[in-house]
Amino acid sequence: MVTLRGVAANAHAGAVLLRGEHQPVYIEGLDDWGDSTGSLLEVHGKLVEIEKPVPDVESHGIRGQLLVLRNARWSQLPTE
Amino acid sequence: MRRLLSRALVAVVISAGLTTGMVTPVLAAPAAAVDIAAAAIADPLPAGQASRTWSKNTYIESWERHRGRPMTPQERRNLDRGCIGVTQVNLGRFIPSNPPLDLSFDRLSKARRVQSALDRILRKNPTPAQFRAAVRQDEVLSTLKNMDKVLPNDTPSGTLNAQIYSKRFWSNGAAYAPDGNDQVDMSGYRYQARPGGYTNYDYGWWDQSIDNWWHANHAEPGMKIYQSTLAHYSRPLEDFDRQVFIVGLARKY
Repeated sequence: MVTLRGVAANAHAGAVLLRGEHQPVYIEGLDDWGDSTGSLLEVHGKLVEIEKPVPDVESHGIRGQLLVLRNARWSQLPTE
Repeated sequence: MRRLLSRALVAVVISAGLTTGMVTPVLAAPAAAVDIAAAAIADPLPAGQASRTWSKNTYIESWERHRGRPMTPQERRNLDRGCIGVTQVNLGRFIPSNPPLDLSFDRLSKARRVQSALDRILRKNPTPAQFRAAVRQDEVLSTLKNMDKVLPNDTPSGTLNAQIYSKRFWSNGAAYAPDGNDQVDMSGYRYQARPGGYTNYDYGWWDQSIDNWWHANHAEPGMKIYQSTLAHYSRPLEDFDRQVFIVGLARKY
């Protein structure tokens, strides 16, 4: 289990946590942060790497490795 | 709303082409054995609903009711490519081509003007030479680049109409800025995603009969299809920093 801090943002494949220059972390099971979009969050869960193959470069999707947080719980932090 | 349509029986799907530079995208000939067809693939989203998610099979069933014919195996393979497949199938274009990007615009309003101008010419069933002449004389079309790439080749122009779709994508630092005619040069685009684990693009095909946009989550496996308002389809997402509205020719059905 890990605890990550970052900014709530929305990607095409679902809600993500942005952590500066690091790879975005997808929050499993959450499509959109809604009103929390843009908030600074502390998120706790199990971090896993998922390989997302796409049949060819011009087909629709994510290629390569995704970071996904499973069983995520989060709380909003005061704005810095 | 449903309505009755009668359509011809065409036994075999044949290929026809539109010349696009070195590539010849393939348009499907009408293939239909039809008694009753639905007026649209779906009813429009009710007011206040931004999006609806469809399973691929449910979408295919509705698409077949609308077209009044089965979706062919080739169309199903095309659909499997995700949002790009949804647009391809609705344009009647086949693998391995992609939806043409030659007539890409920054604003939907400009794409609509181009669509209207093209349809006005196509309704007269011009020969390729007549089409080119009409384009040269048209106030809107004569100012655009790439018009030589959308001219009908061996497809009777009267069987075509202009349709609009959109593409959201990552610019990767390139400007993709509109020129003075609002046209965006997509010739350098290579279907690359924003680095770091983002979706490479999202095409939305504009179903003008219901004013909704059809797009998708990703290619198979696990593909879902979305019916969305323009505002929802265009909502801010980390994956994309540019959006264009594109006009392409499709065979009428």
